Amino acid sequence: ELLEAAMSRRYDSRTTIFSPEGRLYQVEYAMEAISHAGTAVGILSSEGVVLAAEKKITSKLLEPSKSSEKMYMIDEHVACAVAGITADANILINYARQAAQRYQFTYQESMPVEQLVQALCDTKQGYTQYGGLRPFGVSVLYAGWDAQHGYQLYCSDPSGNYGGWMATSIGASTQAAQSIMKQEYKPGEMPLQAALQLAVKVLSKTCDSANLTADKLDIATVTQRNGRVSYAPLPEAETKTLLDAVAEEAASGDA
Amino acid sequence: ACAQRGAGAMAQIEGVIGLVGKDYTMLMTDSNFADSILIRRHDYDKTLALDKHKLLAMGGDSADMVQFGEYIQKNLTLYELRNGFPLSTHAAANYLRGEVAHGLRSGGMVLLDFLLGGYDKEQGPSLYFLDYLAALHKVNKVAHGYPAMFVTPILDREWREGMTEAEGLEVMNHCIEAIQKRFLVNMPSFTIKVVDANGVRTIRAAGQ
Repeated sequence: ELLEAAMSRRYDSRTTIFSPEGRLYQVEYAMEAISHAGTAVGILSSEGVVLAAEKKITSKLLEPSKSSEKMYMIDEHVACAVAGITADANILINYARQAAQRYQFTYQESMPVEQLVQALCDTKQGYTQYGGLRPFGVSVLYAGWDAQHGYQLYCSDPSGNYGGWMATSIGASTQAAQSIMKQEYKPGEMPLQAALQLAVKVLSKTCDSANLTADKLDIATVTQRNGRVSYAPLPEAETKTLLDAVAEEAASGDA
Repeated sequence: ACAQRGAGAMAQIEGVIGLVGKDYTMLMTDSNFADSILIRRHDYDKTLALDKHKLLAMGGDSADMVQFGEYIQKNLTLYELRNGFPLSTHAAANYLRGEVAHGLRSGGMVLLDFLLGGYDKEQGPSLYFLDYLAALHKVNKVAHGYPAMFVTPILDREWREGMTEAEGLEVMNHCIEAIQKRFLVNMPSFTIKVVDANGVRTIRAAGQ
């Protein structure tokens, strides 16, 4: 067993080759890096999609910036939450934004969400097969709307695989998050408010710190406002309201 | 297709006419296959079904008609295969325009005028004018080529919103009469096709 482990080490240094057991170690190591990142959850509702994330980088000395390290708007109808190496995520976000605008330029229509996901995933996959470059250390949750399939939620990882989800999570404590969501998510019966509530509940349970405050959370929704679909971050005051509601529920019953 | 070629001038001789009806789009072209002053065929079909609900009528360079028309058709098929659904007429028209525009400054000019007629479930029937300089317009009725000079007044006077197929056909027949009476070039036959909720249909085959 020790010998096999020693042998496998020789196959790590090149990202684009298989190990003798048929694994891509670099991809796995990338996923390991992501498992230490702030949790992000995505929940699909009939009225929109919720993305909620825990911000790991908090310091009193940090300038409160308008931009988030977790949530990004790709286009008016698509947003995403990321978990992993922020610098890597920035490259992918930029690529996704370009892909969306390129599509719009060619077809004068919004890019269908799954096609955007596929474009990004095809890029990620390239880094596992050629070029000799390491994979992106980022998992992404995509929340969007298109005329074809309505509201959708997708999740992709460093391998370039993706799946469509009703509720899912990336980053740290995904197992705990998934088990809570598995129990509490009701397909077809999740109005936006319920999805928001569940997202905050999941994060408060899986989060590191004992007391989760509104400034440590980033929540956003992709939903219809004024007759069109748009992405909007949740104001901190509303986040606080949700946190209070979750705390109350925990205190009142055995949640 | 090179703009310097003599055939460039010939592009304007071909007639391409279209109108939007109540629940269909009707496209017509002359059925001449001309080569300089010789008409080689009277039964040439210048319309191409791009997919189940899109029709592309073309006028101009005959080589481009086949090569570029099929190029667009195959790329639309590729999109549908990749994504599980076809492009909307609006998206296809803009894609087409982009390809023509690309040709303009890359030495591969596409010497064709187009009318793209389509039917979408939500939008209903639509008609897009696109010329060889990549000017794209969504219209109710329009024509390309010299025949347009004879046909535009008729379309202006006779087209109404929500015409039945019979009414649309009557307008097209008046257009044919005007062309055959007043246009110098002999155009004995025309091709008329319709696209609606059920797909593409030939009303008058090339050469009839």
